Amino acid sequence: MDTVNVSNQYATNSVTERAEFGDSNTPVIASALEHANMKSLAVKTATGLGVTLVELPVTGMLVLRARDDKPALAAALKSSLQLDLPNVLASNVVVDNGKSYCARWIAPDEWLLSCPLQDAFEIEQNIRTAAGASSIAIVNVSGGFTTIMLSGNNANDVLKKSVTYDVHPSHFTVGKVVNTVFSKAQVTMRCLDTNHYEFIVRRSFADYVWLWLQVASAEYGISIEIE
Amino acid sequence: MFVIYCPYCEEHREEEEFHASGQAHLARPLDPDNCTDKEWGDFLYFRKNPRGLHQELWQHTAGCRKFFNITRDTVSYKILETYKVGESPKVNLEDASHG
Repeated sequence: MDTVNVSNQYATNSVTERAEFGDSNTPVIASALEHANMKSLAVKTATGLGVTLVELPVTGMLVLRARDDKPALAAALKSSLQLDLPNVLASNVVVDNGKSYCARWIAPDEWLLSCPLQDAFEIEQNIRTAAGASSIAIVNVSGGFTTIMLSGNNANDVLKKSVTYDVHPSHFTVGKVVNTVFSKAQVTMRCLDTNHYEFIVRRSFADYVWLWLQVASAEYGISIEIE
Repeated sequence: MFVIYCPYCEEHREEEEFHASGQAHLARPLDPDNCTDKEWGDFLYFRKNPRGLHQELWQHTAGCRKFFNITRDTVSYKILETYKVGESPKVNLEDASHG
């Protein structure tokens, strides 16, 4: 089979024809923490405290899979985004024209690529085209996850009480990606910098993780920002 | 609690991230339609429960989600080795248990 048909899940009539969404193909996905009303939380808290929490706007997420054809997937990712397929527990980031693309190692045959939401469909098509007839799989899981950022001087202290993983800066190094248990939820966490961490959590666990972070951060003082 | 080395993540992780899936190396009858009820019943239901070394199948459920095998002593709880599915164990159960 040479041709691959992919439907753009966001370009359906049900979304585009509704007046409130305009006539663009821009996907409309509400924040996983819509009900928490971040705006009111952000106003109540002060800045410059020990811990800062941010929920990023819904990001494009693509699950990339390949086993025997891993070199083909790597080449396709390189040619379409200038991004290398990361090795064990690593991540690679490329920023192009203000757009950020990050590939994370999940398993020996699985990677998670994040990109701007409106570009996810195009990137999926580009990778598929570049990979040709190779045996790879791409699944758009954009709506299934949310991204929460934890930063501040006490971010590492919050992490220490939340995960069993050794998060000492000498072990959980910058760029490292770890799938682990955060309290009782499964998260993909990445170290962006000293005291700056990213959690990718399933949408249905977003509320749980957020409330846990709020409680765990309370003793250091939290400021909640709106992205 | 175990601290288990995942051969795929190449790191030690807490037991909380893993799920035990019972005895490893279960050989499915090659021709299930023509094997005896005893053979099929043994494959489906009967498991070893040794006092001593045991080869177990585990899954790194919260991590890479891959299955792998562990050779473990059920008396001391010591984990002698972990190895990927498809690989052969380095610890020989017969030699080690009598040694």
